[in-house]
Amino acid sequence: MDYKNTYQNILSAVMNKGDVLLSHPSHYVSIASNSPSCRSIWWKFLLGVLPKDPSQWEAVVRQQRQSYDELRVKLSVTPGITEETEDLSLNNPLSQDTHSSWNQYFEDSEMKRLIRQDVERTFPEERFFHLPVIQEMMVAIIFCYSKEHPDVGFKQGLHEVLAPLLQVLDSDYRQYGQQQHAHPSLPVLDLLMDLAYLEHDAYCLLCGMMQRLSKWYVSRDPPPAPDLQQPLLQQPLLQQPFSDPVPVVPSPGEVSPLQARIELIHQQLLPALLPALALHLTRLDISPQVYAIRWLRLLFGREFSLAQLPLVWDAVFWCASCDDFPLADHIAIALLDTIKTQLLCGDYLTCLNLLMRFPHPADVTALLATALQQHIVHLQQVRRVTHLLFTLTDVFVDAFGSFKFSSVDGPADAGRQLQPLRPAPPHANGAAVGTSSPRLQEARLVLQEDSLLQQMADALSHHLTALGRRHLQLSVHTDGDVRAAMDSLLQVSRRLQEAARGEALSHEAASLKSLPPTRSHPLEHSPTRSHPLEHPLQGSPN
Amino acid sequence: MITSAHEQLRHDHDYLVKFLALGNSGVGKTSLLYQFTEGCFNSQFTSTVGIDFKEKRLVHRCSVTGREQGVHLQLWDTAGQEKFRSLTTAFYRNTMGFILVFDLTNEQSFLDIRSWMEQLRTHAYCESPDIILVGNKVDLTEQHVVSEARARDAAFKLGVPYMEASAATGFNVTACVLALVDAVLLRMNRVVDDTRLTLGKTVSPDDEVTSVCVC
Repeated sequence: MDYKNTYQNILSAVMNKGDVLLSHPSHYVSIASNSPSCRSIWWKFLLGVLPKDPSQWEAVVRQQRQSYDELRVKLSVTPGITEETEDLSLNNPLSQDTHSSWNQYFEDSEMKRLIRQDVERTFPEERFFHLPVIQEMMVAIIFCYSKEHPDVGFKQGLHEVLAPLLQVLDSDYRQYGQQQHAHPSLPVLDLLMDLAYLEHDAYCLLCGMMQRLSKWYVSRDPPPAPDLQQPLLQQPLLQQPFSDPVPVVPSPGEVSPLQARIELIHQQLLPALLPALALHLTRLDISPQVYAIRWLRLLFGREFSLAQLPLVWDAVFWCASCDDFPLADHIAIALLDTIKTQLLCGDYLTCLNLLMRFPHPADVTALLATALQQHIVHLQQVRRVTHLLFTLTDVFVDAFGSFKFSSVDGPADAGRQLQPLRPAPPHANGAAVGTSSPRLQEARLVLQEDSLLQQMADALSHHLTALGRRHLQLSVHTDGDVRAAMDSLLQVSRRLQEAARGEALSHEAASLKSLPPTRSHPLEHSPTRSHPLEHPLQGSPN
Repeated sequence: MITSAHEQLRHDHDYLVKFLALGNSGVGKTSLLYQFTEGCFNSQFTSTVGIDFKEKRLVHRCSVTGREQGVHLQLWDTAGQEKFRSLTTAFYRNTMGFILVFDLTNEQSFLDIRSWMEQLRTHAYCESPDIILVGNKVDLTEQHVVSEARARDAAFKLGVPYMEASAATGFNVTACVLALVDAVLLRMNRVVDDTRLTLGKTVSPDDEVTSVCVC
């Protein structure tokens, strides 16, 4: 295969990504591991650095590279030669004024020193990262990123996120450069894989990656509530030596997104998928933070070897949404699964050592297959819930005309939350089916949000009671169990639909007396509207 | 005496002691702990992301009674940047002693000791936990920007003992950690005595551990 073929494969995958995402989960492998490699292009596309329309790629890439050049110029502050030169209160190295270019210069120098300190410690065993030119490049890229994203700033770990990206780009570009004359020339590839723009492209790729990762780098509390620390400091020395202080229950704003995600993985996914292991780790009192912080922040950069990592990231990027890497959850579980046996018979220290110095998995392909499989099962559940919610709202609207969630006390937000979940018309946009769809992301939230289901159940009961249709009044179980609630609601929804049909056919006149006599068939009432039952969301992927 | 405790001690007589190393990024926390547990210097470290962990079993002999006490030391090593309370709370759990490290060749790391102390006191099990302040990289004499007198003065004001060490040469590293072990065990024995708790052995009022013997 030559570059032309590889590139064509990528283009066709780009066009069909939404369709194949779920039906052929392993499809990404054939694209990413094509030889000769265009993985760099594939990653740029998956991370949204390259737009969906390949005809725009050239223009976009030129624009990005020019922007990066401008950014570097903008950020290189040379003290003393700006327009403030006349004002000596600003233009002197001892100026404390935050607007002084000297002050800026010293701040930047300190940030660069910190960045360099980490860059020099990047994968010590890899020669590539010790080349001075590569180290300078990494410092410049991370500096630009940190300055351009002040909400994130410089965070330790960025260098290890950048390193594998840089290596993949470098390897691709170098290989292409060497074989350029052996293959029929493709102008777009000449442009996309130009070693002269390694730094520019690595910066863009880092931005694409951090768009999904940066939330896990928040490392400072929001401004503390003044009364929180007081009781802790005044607490007398406890008689029991070294016992914990009374735990401070963090308010919702204080739980970092990273912590929330770690809790989701370890308190929901792990008990569901590996119950024995979940129990074991809980009994040993091993906080998942001690190992999972690094797993997520570096996207498993140390749990796999540097040779394995691109394969892992292929899969993670393939399932990426616009602001998240949802596959990370299931990779974490699949990793734990690989050493389950050792963990289960290990004591506290054995387990800590295993988790914190994780043995590189022997079979990455199998691990990724497991993770993808579980991810797809999860997506299917999300689809079911999403679909169910649509069905229910539609049934409500059909059966009761002016039904609104806001008509019930409390869940005034439910209607708004549901709105973005409504499926797009069938086939209008292939990508709508993929994980990148914000709609599925919302549905994902819904799945974790029992309260919304509870609200729906309450609303349902309320309306049924109000209408006196007692024969339809089913008990809806929502004791915090999402699945049971879903089943209950599904049942109610079916009964509602049956009743609605029965009503139209006037076969159940006796039990439906309370309804206005003029209502026509609810399900056929508005033929222009796309009913969720006909929507492809219902289709069950393989 | 520091030996592999597996051979010498029954586990139920070990004290489990947990330390946490704190300080700015790059001051050498990981290297110090590595020098202590492995007895050598490794310049090939990656920066710590989140938290890292090392362990060492040792036997501590009381110089008064000569009685040996098994100590299972857990050394936790934090990333210099981590400040998020809901995350770091997990790191501080059950920590008995703190190794607060700065770099003698880096002014900022010395200045930031104060804020580390504040963070530490907020999280620790009590208001005055056992702490040792360590000035690392003492071997790089030429590059020192923090004088010993200045560091001692700061330590005195903070009310914590101060030692200078070098993770590179190994100078004073063991002494630093063992001084903290000593302080923690003293406190432990005192509380054991005060509360008449039995932790697998009886402790009389005179039976205070006064030093840690490394033979």
